[in-house]
Amino acid sequence: MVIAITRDPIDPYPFIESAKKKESGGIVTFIGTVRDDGIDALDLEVCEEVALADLKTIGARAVSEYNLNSVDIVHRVGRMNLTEVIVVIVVGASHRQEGFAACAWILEEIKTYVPIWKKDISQDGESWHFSEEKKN
Amino acid sequence: MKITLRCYARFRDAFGEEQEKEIPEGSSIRDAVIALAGSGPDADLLIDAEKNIRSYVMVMYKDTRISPIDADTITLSDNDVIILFPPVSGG
Repeated sequence: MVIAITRDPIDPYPFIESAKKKESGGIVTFIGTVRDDGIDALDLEVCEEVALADLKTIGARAVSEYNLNSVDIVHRVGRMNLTEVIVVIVVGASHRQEGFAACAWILEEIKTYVPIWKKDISQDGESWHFSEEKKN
Repeated sequence: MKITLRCYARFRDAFGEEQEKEIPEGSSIRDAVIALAGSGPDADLLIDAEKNIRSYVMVMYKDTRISPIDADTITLSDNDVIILFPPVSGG
């Protein structure tokens, strides 16, 4: 299980290769990338000590609750240009149902509480992703 | 007593990365957050009109997440550190 936070570009393919195991019938991969929402780049900030512990907890829970054979979660922080990889989740499971469900669950957990924040960088300036509807 | 409040991302831009506040003995986490929020234009990022911590604020205290609802029930000690996270947006 590789759980990591990095400032370097992420190559997903080694994680997919290492997930190939005799007992696994499927490898489900999620690759999050920087989308062009009228921005030039994203800058991601992290509270690393908490985020890394959270990712490890999420990975361990995913293995246990979805009966996975492997899980890798690698999240990048710092500045990223359009199309660059933000996060890679690679799940190895005996059957596809567990693999798809686990991969989706891991991503939603990350988006719910892991302390990582996106800031849009554009010619108009910089602005944090900050959910205003959560203000009330 | 002296309390340190550490902020990230949007909150850091508004309140600084780290601030020390002098607050009375027996103060709660809520009291410390109110002291940090102050009365400036960004105060409502952290607290509502009744001076309750907004529900989206993630409070870390002694390596544990504290619900804003419970922030009034936890009494601080001298040199405690509180970490404040805005809504996350990773993934």
